Amino acid sequence: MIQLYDYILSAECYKVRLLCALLGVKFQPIKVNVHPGGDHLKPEFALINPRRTIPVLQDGAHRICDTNTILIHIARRHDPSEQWLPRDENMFDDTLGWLGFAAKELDLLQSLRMNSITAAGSASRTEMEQAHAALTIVEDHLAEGELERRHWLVGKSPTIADIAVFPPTILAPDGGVPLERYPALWRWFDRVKKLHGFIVMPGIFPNLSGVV
Amino acid sequence: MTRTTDLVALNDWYVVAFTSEIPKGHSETTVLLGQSLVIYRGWDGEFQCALAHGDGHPPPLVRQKYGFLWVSLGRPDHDIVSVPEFSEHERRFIHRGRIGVPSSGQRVIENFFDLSHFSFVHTGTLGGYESAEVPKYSVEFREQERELWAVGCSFVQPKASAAAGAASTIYYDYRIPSPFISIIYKDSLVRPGRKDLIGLFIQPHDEESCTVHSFALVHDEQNVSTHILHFYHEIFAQDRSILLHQTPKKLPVSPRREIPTISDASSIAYRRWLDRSGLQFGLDRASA
Repeated sequence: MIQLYDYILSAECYKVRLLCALLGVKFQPIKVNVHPGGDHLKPEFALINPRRTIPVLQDGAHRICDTNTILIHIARRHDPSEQWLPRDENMFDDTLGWLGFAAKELDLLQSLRMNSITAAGSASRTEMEQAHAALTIVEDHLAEGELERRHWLVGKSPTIADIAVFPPTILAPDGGVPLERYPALWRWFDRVKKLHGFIVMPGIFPNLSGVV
Repeated sequence: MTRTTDLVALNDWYVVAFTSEIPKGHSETTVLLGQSLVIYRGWDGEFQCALAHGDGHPPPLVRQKYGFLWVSLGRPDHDIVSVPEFSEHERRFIHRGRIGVPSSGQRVIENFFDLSHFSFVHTGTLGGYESAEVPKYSVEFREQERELWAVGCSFVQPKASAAAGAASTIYYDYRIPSPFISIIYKDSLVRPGRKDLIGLFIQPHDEESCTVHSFALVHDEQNVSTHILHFYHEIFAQDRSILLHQTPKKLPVSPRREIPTISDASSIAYRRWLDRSGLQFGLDRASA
């Protein structure tokens, strides 16, 4: 069975958990004491992943130490419909483009959030501006898409682009970055939450219409 | 940031670090009640604490207790809270790490002993939609009104702790021995008749932000500490995301600011008790 080095409060790990849930892929979590232990930074962990980051996916003898690569790996191996990683040339490029955006431009949201949760510090004014600039890119793209009845980041179906961008954006308030001015993001959050098999993580609440 | 002039707040003890978080020979800066502090740990393991900007104030008092570092900026008329279970050695001690919360410490404490949010915020662990009712409990003052207790609390919990295998009705007592400390005494699922403890020691940085230092003393020989820690962090991060949206960030204490139900008895007692204590720091005393 696939093993996932995991921390409950890591939004990067949640990307992998979420895709696995949506595709019905079972995995065995290996829980890492990230906070307060900092076990992922210790020399022992460097033997597992020299980059000393989580998530790490172990699939048989194959080990992957990068979130985007894990998402691609799972989609290629476990999604025969090819919806989550479209093989159409343009859509494939666009999907990878968003994965890069999630890793680079949205990394600030992730670090602001973990710093805020672990009481390590809060956002500077420059960081706040950078965070909003990144969120505005997603907001504008989604709002334009809605006019063309494209309700997902790439085309008319959810892809791993949505899985990579959803956690850091919806969890922005955890890091002190408010989301009030992004209405298209909120509508898209709701669409993600209604996907069959959707799971939450701490800080993300389910869509409760029809439940309570 | 300005140091508070509130003597009730100043004359109390606060945790500012877990001792092993600061290695020997290292220092750390932090803020307590608006006062910047420098904490230094000598090579002998002992701690010193100095005001970053003294302005004629006396040096802080420093103590090590329960594995945590305690500081008072004033002249406390009482000792650090007594928790005899720390010396009983029948439970496992787990340091749960620091969690920063951009709200008043009192909001965190009030949320901690609130039972009615379990089903909706901790769905699947501490509560569920099908059993959201809060059974009656009682509120008591002990130690000449120094301590507030909510006793005989109970709740149907799908997964009450990392050790839980099935849903069960769990009995709780909540102890609030100071405005910024709360300890829960909760049925152990491993040793019937014994209690697990979970405690929050809050370090208020200013009136609208704090760091929560916390511990657990649990009966659990089965799970590795990291497994238990992940369970606690899941619960705490859910609470934190709710606390972010509570306004005002300071806790209102006037009866005219609330519309309570029976299940809020402990919260109402806490607010009235804070009001009577004379504390100003972190409280919203507007009456309407």
